[in-house]
Amino acid sequence: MKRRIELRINGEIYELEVEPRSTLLKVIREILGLTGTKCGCERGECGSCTVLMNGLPVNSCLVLAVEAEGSDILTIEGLSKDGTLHILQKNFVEYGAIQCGFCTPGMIMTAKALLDTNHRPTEEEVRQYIAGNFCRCTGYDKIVKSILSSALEYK
Amino acid sequence: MKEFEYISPNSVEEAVSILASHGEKAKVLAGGTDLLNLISAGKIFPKLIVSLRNIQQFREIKKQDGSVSVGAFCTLRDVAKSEVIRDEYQILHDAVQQIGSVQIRSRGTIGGNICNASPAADTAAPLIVLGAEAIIQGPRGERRKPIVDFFTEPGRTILDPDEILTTIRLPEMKGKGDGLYIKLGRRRTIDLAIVGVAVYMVLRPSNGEIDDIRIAISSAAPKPLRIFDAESILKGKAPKKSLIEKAALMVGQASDPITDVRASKEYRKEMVKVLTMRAIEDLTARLNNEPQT
Repeated sequence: MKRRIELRINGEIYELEVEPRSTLLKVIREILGLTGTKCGCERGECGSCTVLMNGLPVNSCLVLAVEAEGSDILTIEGLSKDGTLHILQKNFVEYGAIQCGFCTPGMIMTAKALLDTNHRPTEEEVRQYIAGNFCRCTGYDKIVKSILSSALEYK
Repeated sequence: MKEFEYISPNSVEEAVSILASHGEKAKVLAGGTDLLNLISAGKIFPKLIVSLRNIQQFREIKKQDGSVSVGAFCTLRDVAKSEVIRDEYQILHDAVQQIGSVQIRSRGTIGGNICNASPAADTAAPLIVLGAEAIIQGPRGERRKPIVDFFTEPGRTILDPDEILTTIRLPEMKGKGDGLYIKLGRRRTIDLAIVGVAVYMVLRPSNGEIDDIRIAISSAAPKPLRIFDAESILKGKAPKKSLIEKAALMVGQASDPITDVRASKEYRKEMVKVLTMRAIEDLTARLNNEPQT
């Protein structure tokens, strides 16, 4: 049976009717049309569905939409402000850290969570932190470089 | 996923009462990182999900009279960030960092790791060597069980369908001991242990003999095991290589692993022995302030 819930996503309040079994990922993509967040493994292993929930990176494929009520959700769409790219988005482009782009939204959300809490991560800390975001294209090198360089320009 | 109903009670008492009226058809939802996978994979078919999200209690790590109580609903991230766990129960601090990923640890709970009862659960062997105790709430009140006796078979525990694990109590660790958990995996992250070995040891300051030692293995038997007979040949003795080898051999022999997609049982049995040796030797070096391998 569907339930009425309120979700706060990228600063906007959405009133929705969802089944308890609908994941946050499914609601974001299919009901709200925010398809920046990707659906990869649906098992919490690839990280392509990563969004921030109260500032923390989570696999939205493993969060029921009904569980997300009352939390602040940030997706990749919420990162740029009035058309201006976030420093991470800008550096991912400039450093060539994007090939097919499928891992990118999840990767950037995870990187944002890292830089929000650790302003000067070491390379090892970056690699450990993004370990839940898989990339099949780039070999991670440029991804790590763009995150490290974004740290220098953060805030 | 198949359809289910969903309820989020405000207290453990309420949750227990709901579970009591639904029996096996209801499942508790903590972080969801295991439960939702089980449902998606069609391994379980709950008709009702009882979410813990509105229960404010059991989300803290508290020190009281020497022992430390870890709320079962604490996320793995909460445990990883806890200073008292890092300072006094380092083996547990190290083990939780090896679970899943940052994303998994933001949601998954320590209670869930135990109650999901994978034989590979990374908190299991560390909690066993720390002598941890489970505090359980049910319709008939509270009961306690040592974590070593909590698991029965893969995916099952001593919990009745109407019981909830609320707290993991860590006893005060007397003496200057140290613990080490080695997780053998194919990757540094997002991996189930091929085997896991946890050792906790206290050395006598006067002569460096082993005052106390606890050894537990995971992912090497239908449930995590503590290997008492290997411990007893080491207690009161000097940690000499030949003796450690003998004990490690016993641990390997006590293991009962399976062959699966990650490794063969022969490899697992061999690695239990190798990692037990490595863990005891590294701990001995650490406790003697020597460089480790």
